Amino acid sequence: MSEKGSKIPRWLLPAGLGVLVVILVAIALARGPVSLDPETAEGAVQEYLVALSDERWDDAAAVIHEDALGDCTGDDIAMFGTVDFTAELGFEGDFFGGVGMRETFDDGAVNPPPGDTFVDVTIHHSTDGGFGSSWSEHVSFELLEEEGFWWITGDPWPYFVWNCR
Amino acid sequence: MIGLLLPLLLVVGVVAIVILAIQRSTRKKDDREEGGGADLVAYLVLALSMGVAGFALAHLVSTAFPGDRFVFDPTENLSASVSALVVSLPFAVYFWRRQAQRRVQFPGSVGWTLYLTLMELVFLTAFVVNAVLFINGLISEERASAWTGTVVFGVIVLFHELAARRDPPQTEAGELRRVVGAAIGLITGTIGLAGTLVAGFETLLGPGSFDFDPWLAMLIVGVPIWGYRWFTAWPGPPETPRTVWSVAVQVGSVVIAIGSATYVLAISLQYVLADTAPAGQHFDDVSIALGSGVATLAVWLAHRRSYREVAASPRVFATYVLAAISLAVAIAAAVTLTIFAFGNRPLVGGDTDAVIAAATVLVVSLSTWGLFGRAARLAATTETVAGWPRRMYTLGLGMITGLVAAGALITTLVVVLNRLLDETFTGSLVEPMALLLFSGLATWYLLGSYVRERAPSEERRRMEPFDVTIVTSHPGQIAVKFPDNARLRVIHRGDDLGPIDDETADRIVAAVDGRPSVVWVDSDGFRVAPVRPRS
Repeated sequence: MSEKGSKIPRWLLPAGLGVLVVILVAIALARGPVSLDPETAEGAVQEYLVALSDERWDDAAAVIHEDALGDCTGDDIAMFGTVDFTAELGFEGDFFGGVGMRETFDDGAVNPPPGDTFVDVTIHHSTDGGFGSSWSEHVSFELLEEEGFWWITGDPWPYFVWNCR
Repeated sequence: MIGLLLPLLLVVGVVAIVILAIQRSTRKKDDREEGGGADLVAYLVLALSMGVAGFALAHLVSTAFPGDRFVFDPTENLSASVSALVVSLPFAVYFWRRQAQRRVQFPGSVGWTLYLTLMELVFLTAFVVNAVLFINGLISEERASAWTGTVVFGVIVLFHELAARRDPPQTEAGELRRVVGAAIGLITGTIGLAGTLVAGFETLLGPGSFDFDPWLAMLIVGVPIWGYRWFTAWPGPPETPRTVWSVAVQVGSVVIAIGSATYVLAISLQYVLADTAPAGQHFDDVSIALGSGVATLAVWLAHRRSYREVAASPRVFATYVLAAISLAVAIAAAVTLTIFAFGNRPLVGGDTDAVIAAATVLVVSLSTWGLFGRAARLAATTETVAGWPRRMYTLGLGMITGLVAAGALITTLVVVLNRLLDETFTGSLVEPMALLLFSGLATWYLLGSYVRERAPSEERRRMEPFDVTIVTSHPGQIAVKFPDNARLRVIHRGDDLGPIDDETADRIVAAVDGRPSVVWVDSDGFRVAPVRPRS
């Protein structure tokens, strides 16, 4: 790396890179999921997604407002649900503001209508232990507050209610 | 009758007009130059007509022996192939004979080399495709088909092979045809070997759902063609085509072999360290990696000897290409790992598998970057000091990583400004900043190396030869005091004013300090005047 006579020792670059790798791996592995207050809109979405990830379909259905759920049950979610995903708050990878990536609402507007609460989430899917294909989708969960609880409403991901409601 | 005669006259007329036009054009060019490249158009017409005639003939023969077709319309096939033959064959025959005569007159024709290469590319590929289909039918339960294509295209390949032996291309790119043939054989054979190995590993390790059939046929067809084209004695040292192909095979085989090994290592680590699916499911794709890795390793081993015949600079270049690929992969893996470490904390799960995969790729790519970089640097120091491969690596790759860093900086600024101007903006800074950091570090290292190596170092300066002219009455032992790289010239002044004793000699050597100089010695001591080095 360094020319003879240079003051930087040769071992410094590999040693520095090694330390960097160890630090990055340690931090990445040590970070568990964020723990949100279930009495917030974001916490309700997390509760719903964790239930989906753990294949607790009935628990996932329990977070959905009864008007949105209709006659649907956990079994209906299971038909469409996938467990092989990770999720994070916000539209990740959305460097330029995400206009055009958000869903268009009923009135044709890009942003959610005033008065409703939306939680933006990025869902990541990957196959083959990180070596296969991977893709992300941006999902806006619609929520309403009732009796001190936040309920998911609308047609939540993984978009199953059309089949049973 | 008139309906038949008119198209025939039309064909004859077109053939005659084309032939006359090319004859006139070539005659004019021959008047101006020595021939050589003057008949490229004629070879192009020959190639086109030979191509059409060859495929029309194959079509005609398959119509005559229709056993390998499910859907068969003899009338349509016959009319199409006969029409194509009627138009193309006169051109092919005429230009074949004409160019054979012209090659006697102008033996170093580039057109002949290009024509043979094009024929190799088209007809050898057609032969390989048909032969694979035919052999696959023989060794599997599928119906043996495409034998007519195998025979016709095989005969055309053989015809051109005999012509090339009788009249070998004499240009610098004369080996291009053989390299193209070797490439067709090697690619087919390697895919076949990899597929056969995957099927073998599947049989040993897994459910054995991967068939041997098409892969074994590709292996059987590809390897003999590659062996014949590549291992038959070459007429001379490697020219550009063979050098380029050798470098490409070296780089490609090493990259695929290392990639496969990294995949196997990473999924093994995932299985040991993470909470993964059962072994049968987790290692489902390992046979593909093992098959590809072993096949490309075999290719690398088989090409080692011929690769050593390539000149030093291209080999150093290949090593730098491997170092560059390793560095690019390392930057990508480092960015990915940084996102896992500092990106948004997940709502659900942590992707331990992906972290292990990224870390494994990062460690392997950093190691290979160090190894290939060191190997190339050592080779460049001993064989091609400050040669073009090193400059392309440091300056070229440094500019590319610099452009990536600039793009990442722009994205970072966009996110920062959006955040300042729009409170609801949620765009992440981690990705662009990670890319900026790692590509910026790579740019700093590469361009720093380039600048450092451009400036002649003190050590290198001391190693370079230099001229010293000494004007003195008597030089004494000064000749043995100077280092070996000094080119000493002594001018005897013819007086006794300045003989050089040992002490003065040491002082003169120290004062010259390896620089081209003129030294004047007299009774007052000595004076040293630096001179411009000889270019």
